[in-house]
Amino acid sequence: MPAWASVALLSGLLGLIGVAALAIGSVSVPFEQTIAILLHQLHLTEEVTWTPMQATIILQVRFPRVLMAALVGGGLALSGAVMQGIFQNPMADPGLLGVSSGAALGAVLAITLGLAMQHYLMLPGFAFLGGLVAASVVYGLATSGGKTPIATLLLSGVAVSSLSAAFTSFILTRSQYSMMREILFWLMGGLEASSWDHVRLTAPVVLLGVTIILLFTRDLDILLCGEQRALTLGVDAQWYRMVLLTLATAVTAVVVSLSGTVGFVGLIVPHMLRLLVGPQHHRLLPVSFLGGALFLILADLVARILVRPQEVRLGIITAFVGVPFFLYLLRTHRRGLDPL
Amino acid sequence: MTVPPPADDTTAHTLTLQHIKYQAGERQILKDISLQVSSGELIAIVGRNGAGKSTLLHIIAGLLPVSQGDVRLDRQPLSHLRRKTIARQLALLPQQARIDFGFQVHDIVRMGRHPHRGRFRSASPHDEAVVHQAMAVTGTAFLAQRLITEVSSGERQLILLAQALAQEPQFLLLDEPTANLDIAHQCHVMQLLQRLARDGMGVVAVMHDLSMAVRCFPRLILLDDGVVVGDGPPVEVLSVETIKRVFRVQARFYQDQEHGEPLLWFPV
Repeated sequence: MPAWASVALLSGLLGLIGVAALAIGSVSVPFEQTIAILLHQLHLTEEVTWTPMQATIILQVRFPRVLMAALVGGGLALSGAVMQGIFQNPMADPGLLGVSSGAALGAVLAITLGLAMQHYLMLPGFAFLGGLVAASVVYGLATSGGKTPIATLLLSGVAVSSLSAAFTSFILTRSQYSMMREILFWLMGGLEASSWDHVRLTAPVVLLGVTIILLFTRDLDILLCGEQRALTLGVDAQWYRMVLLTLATAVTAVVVSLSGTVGFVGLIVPHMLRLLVGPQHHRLLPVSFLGGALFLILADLVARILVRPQEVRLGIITAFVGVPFFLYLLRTHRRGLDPL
Repeated sequence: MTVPPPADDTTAHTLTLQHIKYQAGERQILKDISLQVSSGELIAIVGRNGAGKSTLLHIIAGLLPVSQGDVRLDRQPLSHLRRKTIARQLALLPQQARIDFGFQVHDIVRMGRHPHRGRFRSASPHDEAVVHQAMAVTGTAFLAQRLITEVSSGERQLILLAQALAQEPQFLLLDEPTANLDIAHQCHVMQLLQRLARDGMGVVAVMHDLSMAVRCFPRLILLDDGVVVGDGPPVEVLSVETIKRVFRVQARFYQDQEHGEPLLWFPV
């Protein structure tokens, strides 16, 4: 499939699914009215055919949630694609440098220390710090004499992740039942708390990070020819790797701090899309962002409506929806996926 | 089929190494190496395993920081030049480059235009013409639409050679360019290197195959334990005595009956 076709297809689907995700929920708002509410906001229609409550649900509850789903999904998928490229490793995911487990530890600390109750930004703030601290420790441990060998970096990432996970488990076993429940909820990921404030915090970081990453697509392609070839093609491998890792890690830290642990998106979405558009990053990265956004909006929609009136945790849905689809692709496109 | 001429084919260029020393940890790998490579030269670096051949090639390419001395491209020290500037004049083909992602061969070769392209400039018709030419001379045009992950290791070597040629370098450095190739491809690559040198490119290759080095390269540089112990025409550099001293092999030279070329024989 040509690149523009995939981008057009995914953008179209994204719009469609986005509106559907606004309309569908515990209180259903008809499709036409959902669109009318959106158009009204853009001052394109004057007529009001809906109740104020419907407008509030769409604009204050669901809209920020759908946007957060798009930012989290897009950010994770794009960061995953970058990590897989940099590490030339199909198992690389955005949490590779310990971001996810560090963020989890930060969140758990905020919950057990009671800070999460004081301000709604305490939890994501702690999670973000935890993620950044973990990633910096990993990078620092793996670097000596100005060089950061990839194997050392991967191993340090695994080690620091295990350590944070052990701390998290330790705190979990020591905490009271109510807190334990809250912690487990966070660890399973979810977007129910999303507000416009969250969107205002996340969107600039994610969009800026993504835009900068998109400037380096050709360098990322060339990095895949191996370090020596990259250097003699004029791409300073160490420098670009460091810049791109930092950006991908920062984007991941921001989104994970607000969504909790949402597995699978960053690992699998880029793989699925490589089958569609090939490994060239100027195609793969935009398509991954759109695909990840689409996937997470859908997953969040399912999480909201599967067992009404309760919600299923988002992390559970991403695995339930994504894994069978991925295994299907793996069976039918074996050649395209091998070795990546 | 003509070979793409170097970007600036009217002037001759030189690569100069002055008193290069290179140390890795405690080990002195290169000890005081000075040499000069000019446009149009075809040079083989030979020597035992661990003599420092690949290290020397990487130093010439500016990939390793020298402990002492400097490498100059014309008058400019390499260490003062930007990577992209160096990449427009000098290309290195490493011994083995693994590519695990399913790029199309054509896209791989097009990456060779990177140093000539601005960050936001898409490939121009000139870029495409150079890419096309590079694939034609390396005999890889028929692979253009294939995936790099699905070609043989020999074909991959030729594709990466095409990528290096697409850089239109004035100097081409190769680490054992014929190591993975069958005999037909070896001939093809050697003829190509000879033609590139004739057309003005400076070509330096690390070679393990001494018979090939003696037959095809007008100038050999013999490296032993980090020191240049011979530099000149093959018959002068690689005498039977030298081969015995450096490689510890009792070799013999024969004259080819038909063409009068020196053939190297060694006991197995």
